[in-house]
Amino acid sequence: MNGKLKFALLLAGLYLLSLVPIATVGALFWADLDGVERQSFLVIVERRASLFALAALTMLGVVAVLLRTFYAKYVTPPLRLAEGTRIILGANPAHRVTPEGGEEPQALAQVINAFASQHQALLRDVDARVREAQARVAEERNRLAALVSELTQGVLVCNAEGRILLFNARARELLGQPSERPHAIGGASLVGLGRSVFAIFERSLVAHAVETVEARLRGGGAAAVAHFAANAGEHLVHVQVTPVLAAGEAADAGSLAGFILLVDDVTAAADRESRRAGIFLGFADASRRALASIRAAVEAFLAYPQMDAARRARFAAVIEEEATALSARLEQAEGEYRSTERPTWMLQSVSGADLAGAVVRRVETRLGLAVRLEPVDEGVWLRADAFSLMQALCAIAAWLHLEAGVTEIRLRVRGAVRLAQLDLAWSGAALDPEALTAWEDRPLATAGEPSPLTLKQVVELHEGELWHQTDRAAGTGLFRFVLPLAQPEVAAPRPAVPVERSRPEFFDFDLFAQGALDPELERRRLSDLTFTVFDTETTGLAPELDEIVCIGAIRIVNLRVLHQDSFEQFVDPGRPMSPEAARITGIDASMLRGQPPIAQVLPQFHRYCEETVLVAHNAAFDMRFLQLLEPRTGVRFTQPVLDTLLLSAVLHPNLAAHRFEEIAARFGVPVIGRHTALGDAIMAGEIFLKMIPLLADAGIVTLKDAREASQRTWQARIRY
Amino acid sequence: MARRVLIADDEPNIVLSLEFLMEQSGYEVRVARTGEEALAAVEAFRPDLVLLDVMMPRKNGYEVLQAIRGDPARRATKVVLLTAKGRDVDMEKGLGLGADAYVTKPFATRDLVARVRDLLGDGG
Repeated sequence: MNGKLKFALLLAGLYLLSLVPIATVGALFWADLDGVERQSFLVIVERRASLFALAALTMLGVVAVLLRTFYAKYVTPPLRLAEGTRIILGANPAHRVTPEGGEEPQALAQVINAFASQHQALLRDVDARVREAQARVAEERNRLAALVSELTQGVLVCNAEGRILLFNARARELLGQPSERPHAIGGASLVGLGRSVFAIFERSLVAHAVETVEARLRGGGAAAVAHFAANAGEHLVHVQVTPVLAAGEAADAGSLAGFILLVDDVTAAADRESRRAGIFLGFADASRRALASIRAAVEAFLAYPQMDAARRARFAAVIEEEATALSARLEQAEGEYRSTERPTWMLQSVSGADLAGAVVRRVETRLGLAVRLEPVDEGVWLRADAFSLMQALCAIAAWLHLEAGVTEIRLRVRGAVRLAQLDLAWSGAALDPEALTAWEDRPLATAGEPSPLTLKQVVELHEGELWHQTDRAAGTGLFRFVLPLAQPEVAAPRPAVPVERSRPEFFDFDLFAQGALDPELERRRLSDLTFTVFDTETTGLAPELDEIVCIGAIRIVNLRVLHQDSFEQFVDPGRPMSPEAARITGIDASMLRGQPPIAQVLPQFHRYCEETVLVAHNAAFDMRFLQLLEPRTGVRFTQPVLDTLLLSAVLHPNLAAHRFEEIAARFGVPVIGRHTALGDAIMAGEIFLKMIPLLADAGIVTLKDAREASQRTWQARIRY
Repeated sequence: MARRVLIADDEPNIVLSLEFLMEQSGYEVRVARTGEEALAAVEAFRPDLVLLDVMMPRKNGYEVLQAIRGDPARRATKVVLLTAKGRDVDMEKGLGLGADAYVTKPFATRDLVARVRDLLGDGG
């Protein structure tokens, strides 16, 4: 109620109240009078009616003026004070109230103003501190980003699920290209925010390294890092794995929250190392031969001084010839050696017991075969690349079991003076020694181990030797692997400052909070998921007959479209475009000439969208094309799929218009690059992002909600 | 009857000295220049001892050794591996495959002759 109305009502009330005593006195007076008196009173009053009316009006006026003055002094000022204070509190801390009205409201206004000044100063102080802190964080972040970007090593920071949270340009350069066809993918790199690191490195390699790190952390032992070697395209890389531990007071503090991969290109180093080794070994070999001949000749000479002249001359000729050849060989080796630099490649120390245990477990889980482990010498430490060595032993076990039908295998690890002996002994099968020799040149991959190496290469990597002994009559035999021993690893004291506290938090680290994929995936919120939004262009509209000519895709991470992490690839369909499709898409035969076939592109696209949720407009159409390609490409898309067409029908069941352009217009997404695969994918992605909050309002929050709601809509019945 | 020694090595310069020394020590000597020749000579010549070089063309020393050890009739034949490979693992492999001795080049001829005598039980 506003002030004026209030005033009017109050005034009317006062008037009514003042009427009550006047009327009461009047009534008593009237009742006391008899008939004659009443007559004469009426006459008196009638004659002076205007006087009475004037008196009454004057009284009314006086009351109104008095009330008005009171109001102006004591009612209006507090109301204004309240409004002014609200402004100070909510909108503008610099606003001040104006003292007015009576003495009391003025005093109140002064107190409020004093309070406001104090409040304002406080706010200014807090603000300054916040800004200061932000500046400090930003500076730290920039310094870190600069540091990371300047490193000559590749850096990948991943969460516990292996999603990339941060990377530098070097990592992208080293690892970004898929190995099969380095130049096929325009724009799409394997290294990108939110992408799975397992598209780059074999999952088992990383998992093994992470397990090693965890085991070392539990043991409170030496530096908590692990290494592995891997192929990345044409590069041979050496990867150091460092854990990121969960911090704070949570129950899982100290558990693994993620890991950092430092990637070195060791192609050149490994190359150099093997060249140097080759130079030295070649020279040593030649020297030994030459010296053996010289020494034998000289000693024969000395032992039998009475030998005839002809023989003596032959010995002298041998000595001269060998000495000359050796001198030349020395010159050559020295020259070759100088042309190489120092290597950096190295093997690690591995405990024999750990290795044996790992082999037994791996053979058990992979083959279901129990390997009997004989007691392992304590303190046997090997110089080894633990993973490839383990793979080699497992491969031998697999071949023995699957090809020779061996069911009894024993593993023995022993240390000699400078050498370690790893024996895989079997019984119950007579094996052909020549066949066993042939195994040395086989890739380990034929035993189901993800490795590019052969058995022989693993042996060479370890500077070891491998041989087999068989007793065909007894049906027994063994493979023996000898390699140099290492110094036992001494447990180093743990650093005084816990590792996790000294690490800055930066970039998208809230991604650490993401849970593991499957089976929890369905329960996750749409806003937490990583999506690949894609579109295909085809030669026509019949999935059974037509072919894909272009795939375009973008990624959505943390509710952002990552434009720089897009995928676009034309495909040679091996057949002409239908005139209709050519007209709509503007793609003609010349654009498709020389492009890779779908059998090459689809595995790359599959890798691009690994471990993401797929989104497409009218996804049934695109998915049908992909599904029909399964037998030809061997690639299956098993990830969950969301369809913006269905979701639009979920959101607006009463609207009939679900054409792409109409939906875009409804959501205020500009129509650009229509009918190019990437352009449509970007539009669908932007539409999808706008849908997520609306879906949440409708109670559709998780992936499961979205899929169930989609299924219910009538358009889900369309099948291509 | 003189004991028989087979020298299997593809380098003529060392064969010259070895042959001379073995003959001077009173053994009947035969020379083979490849792995296959060596195996044939083992059959035909039936040596009591083989001085076997590891690096030879057409079957290396290890393969010859495995063949000899795989033949029950040749069980008594002594084998001395001669090799320019000096790594511990090479020696381990040689002895593991059944060589009686493993001699790394270069070697003292006096020691080699003593080793051969020893293996053939001539006592010196």
